[in-house]
Amino acid sequence: MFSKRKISPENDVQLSQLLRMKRQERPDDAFWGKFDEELRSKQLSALVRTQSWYERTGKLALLIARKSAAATATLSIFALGIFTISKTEFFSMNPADSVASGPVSEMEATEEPHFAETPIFIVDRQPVSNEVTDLEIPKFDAAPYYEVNALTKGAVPVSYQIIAEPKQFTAGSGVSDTSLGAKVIRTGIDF
Amino acid sequence: MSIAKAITKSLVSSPERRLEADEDLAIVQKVQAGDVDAFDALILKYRERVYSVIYNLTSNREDASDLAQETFIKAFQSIKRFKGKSSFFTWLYRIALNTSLTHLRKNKLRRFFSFEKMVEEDHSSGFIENMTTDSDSDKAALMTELQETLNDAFQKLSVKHRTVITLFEIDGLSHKEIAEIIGTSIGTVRSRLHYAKQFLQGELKEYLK
Repeated sequence: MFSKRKISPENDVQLSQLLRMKRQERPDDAFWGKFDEELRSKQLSALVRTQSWYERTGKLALLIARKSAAATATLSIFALGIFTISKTEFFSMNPADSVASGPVSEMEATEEPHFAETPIFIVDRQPVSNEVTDLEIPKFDAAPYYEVNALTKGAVPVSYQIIAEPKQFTAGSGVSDTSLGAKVIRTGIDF
Repeated sequence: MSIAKAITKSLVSSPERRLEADEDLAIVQKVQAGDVDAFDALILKYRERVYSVIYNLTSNREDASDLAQETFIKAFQSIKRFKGKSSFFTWLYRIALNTSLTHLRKNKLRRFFSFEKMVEEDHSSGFIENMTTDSDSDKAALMTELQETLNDAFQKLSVKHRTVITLFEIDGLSHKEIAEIIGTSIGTVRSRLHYAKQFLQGELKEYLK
């Protein structure tokens, strides 16, 4: 577009004079009257818009909230449903399944006592004192006796329901620890 | 190079400009403090210069009017962010140029021109006098022809070169001020100015004797 040739000083002055003629391309007073009027109107609009900025932001937030209300409610219900289902029996771990399923279950099964038979707990009753009251009548003469309670699995799926079926017998009466078909884990005075 | 590129802190060149910048800053601070009407003084002071720059860039009086108004609205809306790192005048011109360049980019496929009438003044009539000694009607015809040729040549320049020559020759800004406004070096301004003048000399050679 351009070459590197020099501009003659005389031509430069003349060109500057010529270009300054463009300064005379000016609008008349009527133009400026209209210009000021329009600018004032636009300025007021801009001012109003500036003042209502917070209001417009609030409206926008409200609009977004309204638009997303249905989606939020649906998601909430869905999440609640998932949570509820996850807590029900259907999705809970069945102890019987856990024994058979993975290596972790197998390990747990080996570490913890596995009751193939009905567990029992035995209450070691102290010998009845010689003091005789009106309410308590000694049945055996100072000999200790045991109260054997069998633990049976009930209808509750996870925990055991203890159904105490006291069976009393006297020590040395010939009944073995496993006479009730259960293995004794621990004995003590109180449970 | 983008006009919107960051501009370094302005150092206002002449004492007159410095005084002008201080006056403007005082008005700007009033507007920033909430005196909205004080902005009218800035509009009144700069509307013709802003309009002139935009008009010479777009060559359309209606577009120039709208863009000048848009420039003042933008300045008004963002005046709270004006920190006085440059003069208000430099800041306002940057807004005007960016607004104009955005407009030119958007509308480059539909370009139609509408020019202002040339108001005859002493120095222009002197220039015409040098070219002809004929009657007033001949002078008027010559002036119209000259305006058309001049505007036509002006529109052949690229926007970058047109911007620089408008700010220098028509608006009368210094190289340094132009460099601050368009965000480039003084050397680049001089270079663009040189090539723009060279091109216009070629286009207007029959008037340059």
